[in-house]
Parts: sequence; C-alpha cells; structure tokens
Amino acid sequence: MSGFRSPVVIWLIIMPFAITLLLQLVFTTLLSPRPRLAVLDMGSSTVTEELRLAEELDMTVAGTGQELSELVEFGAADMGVTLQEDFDSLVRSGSRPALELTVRPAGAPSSRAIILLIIMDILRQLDGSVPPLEVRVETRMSGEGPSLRARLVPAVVLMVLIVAGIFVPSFLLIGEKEKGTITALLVTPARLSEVLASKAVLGFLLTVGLCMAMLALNGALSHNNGLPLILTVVAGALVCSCVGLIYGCLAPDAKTLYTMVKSLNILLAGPIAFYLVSGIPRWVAMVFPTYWFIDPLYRITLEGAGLNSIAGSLAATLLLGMALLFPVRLLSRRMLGH
Amino acid sequence: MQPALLAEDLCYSYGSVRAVDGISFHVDPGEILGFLGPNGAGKSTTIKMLTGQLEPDSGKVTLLGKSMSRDDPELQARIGVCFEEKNLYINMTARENLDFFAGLFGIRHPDTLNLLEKVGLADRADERVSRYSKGLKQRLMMARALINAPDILFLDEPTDGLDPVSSRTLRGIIREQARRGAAVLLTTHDMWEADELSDRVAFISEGSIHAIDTPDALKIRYGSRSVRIRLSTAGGTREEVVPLGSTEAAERISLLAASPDLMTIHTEEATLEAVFIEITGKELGI
Repeated sequence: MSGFRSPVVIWLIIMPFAITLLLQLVFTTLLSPRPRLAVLDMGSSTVTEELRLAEELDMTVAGTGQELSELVEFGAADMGVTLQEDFDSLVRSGSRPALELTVRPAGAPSSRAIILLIIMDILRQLDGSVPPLEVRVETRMSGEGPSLRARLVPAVVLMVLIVAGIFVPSFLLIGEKEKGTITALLVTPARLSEVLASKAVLGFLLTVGLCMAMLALNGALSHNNGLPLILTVVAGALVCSCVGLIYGCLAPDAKTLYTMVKSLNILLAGPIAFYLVSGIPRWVAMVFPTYWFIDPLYRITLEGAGLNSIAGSLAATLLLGMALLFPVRLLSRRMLGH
Repeated sequence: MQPALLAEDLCYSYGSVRAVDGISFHVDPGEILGFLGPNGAGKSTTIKMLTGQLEPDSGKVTLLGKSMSRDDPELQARIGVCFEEKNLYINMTARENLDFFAGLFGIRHPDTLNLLEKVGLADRADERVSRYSKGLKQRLMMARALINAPDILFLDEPTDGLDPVSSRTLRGIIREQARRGAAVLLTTHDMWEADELSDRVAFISEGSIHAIDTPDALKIRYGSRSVRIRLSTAGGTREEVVPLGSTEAAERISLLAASPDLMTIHTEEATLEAVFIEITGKELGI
C-alpha cells in the first residue's frame, strides 16, 4: 500500500476528498444562492445583529480590518461592511455616518445588490422610517425535494463505504497472499481468523473514519443526526469489510481483485441510482443487499430520519454482516487448501 | 524416547492428483532428517501437512506428543518454519520483521540483534529487506524460523541457490540447532548437503517414501564400492575400476597394485545421489 500512486491511496483518500472539494466548489461557491457578508463592527451596532438574523444572507463577523479584507479578497465573502463606533446613534441623530463597503471585483454582482438592499432596509428601520419596500430573496432550484448537492453527499459517503470498506481488507489480504507472508503468519500461534479479523478491523476503522470525515466536511453531520449516522456507517462498514474479505479470499492476485472490485462494485452501489434518479420502484433497490444501509443513510441526511425509523434497516444490515461471516469462513478455508 | 515428530500414513490429493501417498516417518529430538526428492515429489505438501497449513486427507501428525492442529497456538509456538519462498515483509527492516514475528509468538523482549548476529545480519539490521540479496533474505528467513527457539524446525530448501558463504553459515546454524535438541526436518534436493548434515535421510518420490536410513547404511545397502586404479602406459595412462566384494576383485587389485606401472589407487564409495537413482529410478534434477 506504499506510495501515493497506490490505487488504494487514490481510491480511499484522494477521491472522496477531491469529490468533496468539487461539491464545495460547485455548490457552495459557484452556485450558492445565499450572498455572504463580512461585518466589522467597531462598536456594538444593532445592525450587526439584524444582519445576523437576516435569512437571505450568510454573515461572518470580522475581528479586524485586515481580517475583513482577507475574507473578501479570498472569496469567503461577497462584500465587507465596516460599521464605525456609535454607528446607531449617528444614524438616529441624522448625522449621515459613512458606511464603508469592501468589495471584490470578481464577486457576484447579484450578491452585492442583495446585500445592499438588505442593509438599506435595516438602516431605514433603525432610522425609524418606514421602508419603501420589503426585500424577499427567493432561490429557484431545479426540481423538487432535496437539492442535488444534498443528494450527492450520501453518494460520496457510500462511495467511501463501498470502495474503502471492501478494498482495504481485500487488498491487504491479497498482499499477504501474493507475498506469501500469510503462510508465514499461519505457522505461528496466530490463527487464520485473527489474520482475517486484523484486515477487516483496519478496513472497518478506516472506512468509518473516512465516512464521518466526509459527512462532517460536507456539513451533513449535526447533533440531531449524529448517532443514527454513526450507527448506519458502522453497520455499513461491517458489511463492506465482510464483502472485502470474501473478495480477498476469492481473488488469487491483485489484478483479479481490481477486476472484481470494478465490476461487482457497480452492482453493490446500484441502489444509489434509486435516490439520484426518481421514478425507479423501491423494490428494485431493495433487491441489492447494500440497500439496507444505503436507505437509512439517505433518509437520515435528506429527510432527517431518527433512530427509531431506521432501526429495522440497521438490524437487517447487522444480520447481513453476520450472515456474511459464514462464506468468509468457508472461503478462507478453501483458500488455504490451495 | 518419544519422537518429536511422528507422521503416520499421510495422504493428500490436489483434486485427482495424489501428491502424498501414505507417508510415515519420525524425527527424534536433536536429529536431522534429510527429506530428499526431486521437485514435485511431495516434500512441500508433506511439510504443509506437518505444520498445519494443510489438513491431511487421511493419516495423522503428532508433534511433541500432541496431535497436530492449526488451531493449537501452544503447539504452533513450538515449531519454526523456514520456507523456500522468501515470504518476508520487504518494506520492513530485518529487525522489524523479527520483532513482528516475535510478537506473534508472544515474546515480549526478543533478542533480535543476537539472532541477526548469528546469521550475519547484525550490521544490516535496520535496512529494509527489499534491499537485501537473495542470500541475505534467506539468512533472515532462518533467523525468523529461530525466533521462538523451536523444538521442531522445518527447513524447506534452506540453502537453495545460495552462495557458498551463506550456505556454510546456514549449515552451521542447522547443526547448532540439532545440538540444542531441536528436531530438524530438512527438505532438499542437494544430495551433498543432505549427506553432510543429516543423521538419517528419507528418499521421497511420487508422493511415497522409498527408503529411510542413515546415509552410510543406504550407501552400503544399495551402493557398490570400487577401487579406481590408474596405470601408466606407453602412450599415456589408463584407468581401471574394480568393484569390491569378490575374490576375483581382490586378486585383480593385488595384481595391479604390484605392477611397476601403478600411478594412483583410490577406493570409491557410492554417492547418495547414485543410491537415490538406484532406489527410485529417478534423477534428482531440478
């Protein structure tokens, strides 16, 4: 597994993070419907609080002028606003204080326009005058239901689950077989079950860790769905580790393993299509064994499903994982026979 | 004395091919048994059954008085295996390899450096194994097999293809292990090495043991001794080989020995290889 060019490193580490970065870039930066504003409040203006409460934009408070400039310059905010000390008093007294705006030429003009409208609206309220209009920002997204990004995040996590969960144990086992070191291990007090378990546990832990990192990086992990998500990922990783051991026992070498992973993983990841493309009957997805942990993952992240509503699927996944231990045992014995 | 290793009527087939067909033998503590045969004779399959890697189709393996089982860690902890295949962790150093395997045997503070010193690798203990030559890897394989000071040592072609210095080093270690009391099963197709090291040798061919005894006994029983006499002639020299064991031979040797043309006279013994061919009808070639 050494070297950054190893397929395991590419599939396990680089690919999920690269896809996450791509999702962030496409859906957060390029297609984000909410303008982002950075505020430097030199005093304690109520405008800052009003901006924070505004649903139409995302606000970040900068501690210094330098920080404000950097937020705008590096694209973390579409515009920066500096509110001088006693800003509210000056507005109320009619002194017409200066409102310093920091903009980035490359920023989206529409975002700047929305921000300015919202600020003017808040200032009029502060002044006590009746605003001439009410600002409403409506985001038009294609289709109904969860956004494409929201639907893609579980897909990325599932990619890690299926690819890493299967690849790591199988690749490690094949490595031992190809180098012949498994033979050396098995003439020590170490048992075959322990050797297999060591591969599965490493794959399991790595997969769970990567999945949780993917969920956290994509903002899909919250205190409300944390436990159900962790349990689903754990159950899914368990099943995938067992499948990985089966692959590892069956494949005589890495080349065969790659072929198996490439061809059979398409079948394992099949249920994902059910969630990305509407109109496919649910029973089709239920035919796939992986459905039983893919479904709760989608329901938690997209519908906010709780532990109670996914308990049945989790139980089915755990049963599936335990059932897979039998072919693992059978195939590992057969593997040694040859 | 209870044998350290007892194999009784072992059989194993790969599909329809009978690889081992009713093999029985024993190895006593402190004894080196040479297991001789050409490639494909069934040596490696036998070792796999003896070390628990393969379950015999029939027959029984008893090690140190206990029936052999893959799932008996106590028994596995008392054997050492040096494989023909160089199955080391090549991305680890020699020291890391030994420490790792010592851990599997439950040895908390292994004296790996002393072991590496014994096989002549102390100065390269912290070098990655991937940089080792074939000879150095084989030395490390031997060190690994000795990490648990085994009571039974299985050596599968330990000196195959090695340079003379490495071979001599390993042969010295094998003798030392036998002196320590370990039972050694030495698999080889090098007849000279088997003759040099083994207390007894077993000839295996086509999955069966054809003969098992001390090398000298086998040579006496199956080989023929002779005397090679070289005489000078008008045009150069001539050689005559006289097989021993008859009155005529004694008379002929006396006659030639008294000749003024006698240059040299040597007794010749049968080689183990010749005995092997005599018994099995097969060459020991690769």
